[in-house]
Amino acid sequence: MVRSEELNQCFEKLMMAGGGIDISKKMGGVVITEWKDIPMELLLRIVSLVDDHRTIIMASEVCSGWREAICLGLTHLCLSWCKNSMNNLVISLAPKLRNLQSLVLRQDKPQLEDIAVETIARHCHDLQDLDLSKSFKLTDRSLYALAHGCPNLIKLNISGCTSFSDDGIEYLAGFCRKLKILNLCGCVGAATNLALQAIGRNCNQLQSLNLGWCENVGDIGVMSLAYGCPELRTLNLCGCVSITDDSVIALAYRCPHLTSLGLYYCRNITDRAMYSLVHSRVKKNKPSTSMWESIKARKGEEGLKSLNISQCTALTPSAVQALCDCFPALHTCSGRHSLVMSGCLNLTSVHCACAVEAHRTLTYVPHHHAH
Amino acid sequence: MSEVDMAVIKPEMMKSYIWLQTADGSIQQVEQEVAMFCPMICHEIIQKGMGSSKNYAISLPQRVSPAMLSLILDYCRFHQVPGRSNKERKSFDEKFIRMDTKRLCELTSAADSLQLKPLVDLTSRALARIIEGKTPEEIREIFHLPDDLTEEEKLEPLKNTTDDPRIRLLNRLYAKKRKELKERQKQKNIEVEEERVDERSVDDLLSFINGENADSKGVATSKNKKKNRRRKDPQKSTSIDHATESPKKGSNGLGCLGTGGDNESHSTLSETSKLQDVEDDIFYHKVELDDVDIDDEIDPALKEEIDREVEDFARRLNSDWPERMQELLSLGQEKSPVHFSINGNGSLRKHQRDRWLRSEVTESMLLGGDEQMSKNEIQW
Repeated sequence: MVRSEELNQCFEKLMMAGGGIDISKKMGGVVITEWKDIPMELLLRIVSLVDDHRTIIMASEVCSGWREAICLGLTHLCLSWCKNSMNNLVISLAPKLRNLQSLVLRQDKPQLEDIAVETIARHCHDLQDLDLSKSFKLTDRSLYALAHGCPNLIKLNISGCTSFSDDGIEYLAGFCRKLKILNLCGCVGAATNLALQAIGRNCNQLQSLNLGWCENVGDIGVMSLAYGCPELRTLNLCGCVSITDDSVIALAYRCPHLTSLGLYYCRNITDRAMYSLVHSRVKKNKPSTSMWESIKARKGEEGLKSLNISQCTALTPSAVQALCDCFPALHTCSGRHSLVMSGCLNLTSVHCACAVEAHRTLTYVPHHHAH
Repeated sequence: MSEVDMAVIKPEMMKSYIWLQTADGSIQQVEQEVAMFCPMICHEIIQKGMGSSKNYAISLPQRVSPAMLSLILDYCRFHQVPGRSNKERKSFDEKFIRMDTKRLCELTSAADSLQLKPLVDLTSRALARIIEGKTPEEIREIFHLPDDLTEEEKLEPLKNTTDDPRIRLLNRLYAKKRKELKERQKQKNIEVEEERVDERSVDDLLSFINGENADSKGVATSKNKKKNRRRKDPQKSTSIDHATESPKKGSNGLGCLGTGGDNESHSTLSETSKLQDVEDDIFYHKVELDDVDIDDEIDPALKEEIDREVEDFARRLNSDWPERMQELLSLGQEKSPVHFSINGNGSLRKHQRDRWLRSEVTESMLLGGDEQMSKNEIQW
């Protein structure tokens, strides 16, 4: 017993001294003396803990063991640090990273081309989260490729991709039906009523949609969206200047989970829209609704938490105050500014409940000090 | 492990000890509350009733050596005390992981096998910090990893699905350069042979070029340094900083360009390279410098061979695209090595070569500071 222990120790020393990978194998025992003996999951974990994903690329160049581990196991990758050659890097990496789930390719300088996205679509079928923002060079070809190759997409960010058209979006929507988060901010050509109708038809699990500065968005599109996507929680219509009250009314009644709405610069919005939001909420809490629904209304669905009506100059204080009273999560106080009304000079009298409370407390203080 | 179980155990065994056995056979006692901090040990005690005596010592996984066990137990001993503040714990952790990288690896592995998640997190993060920002070579050095990626794998075949001949040519060029640099690096250690004059016959050289392994030693040609002929291109000043050793060296570089390049070009016809190593920038800077050095130090036979290649490249780089397309496509089909020809038009070729080299410089300038070669930016 003792002798074998001694022998073991001798061998161990040999291994440590000589970096003898082979010796440890011959031993049959798996004593960790080398990094390479660390299990793949652990290695992956360590590699993915780095802040700068450039290191992940470097790590895949270290040795075959590392390369295998990374190629098999890497699920999240960000290549936004690439200044010039993201396109080639993606073409090279995508075929190897078959299990990729999340890929961030946001660029400061547009480098990505259709072929890169096609490569991704050809190999990374498990992709759930893709950020292609600011890829000015991409065309609908990319969208067609993604439609076929990445049907499991849940989160897609193509903000700033100005070369897309609504045909591409329509096509994509038909295949990527699991989409929950979609960012089309600035995609003027892509975000049209046609595209929104397609989204409303197909992407019924959609929870968050950003249509900022998409001036071709009209009531028909938003209404289709409201009818088709009852799970909608966040909708950004800032800069969608064609929108009228009809859109907001449809959203108010069809999207009970709506918590964040952006109507910045939607000049056509009037008090009618505000009152519809109030009414839809009140309707939920009425005794005529089933008990379960009213419990749900009180507990889970807290209603609007964030609303931007800046530059909606047609609104009057009474309507907006009614809104503020109805949704306690909307604040005008400095700490939690969730009701944004910049540029609406006639709405300065609107206050949230806590702003009023603070005002009241302040006026009491002088009376108390005399004691 | 439920609280009920704990309550049942504690009154019976006040300061009780658990017996643990490491893979080397040695057995030790540990306070129970300390050992229980490890989920794996806890499981053994609760579910299997092990550890209560020497004969029933809990066998620890093989990745846990006695040294690592003692470290882990130190960690557990500190953290299992409930009354400590977060600040205290954090401070302990920071001091705890201060150890050499090898031990850190072992510790990570051991903690992982004992399922001690907080310690795995701590050590993993420390290791991540270590590899952050390092080149592959540096990482290999730190962790004593083998450099076992094949030449091909390192070149990283870029899956060139459009079969763009431009990219193929470009990759051949770069592959050639890489190989050349590798050869040169090997040469660096061989000081003695620097003064040796190459007296091989033309035939020998031909056969060498045509198929044998690009053995750098064999290619060593005369290395009479004619420094006054060396062109100091102002743009290259930064690259010279990088390639501190190469000025002393000499000739075999371009020699290898002819040979290694050919071998590479065959193998990379269907490959393309993924050149995102930061190292590559350095490589290319070095190559630049050396190209300039060795103009006049090569055996004339090789020199001619190289001149022809350079001519080819210069032509391709500067001529019109349709012409080039045809050339490239035909080049792609031709599998035989580059023909060896002697041409007397030295001065013209030098000019062309210079032009070529200058365009190479532009390339490396673009590469400088980049993570990867930027194919798109090279002017064709």
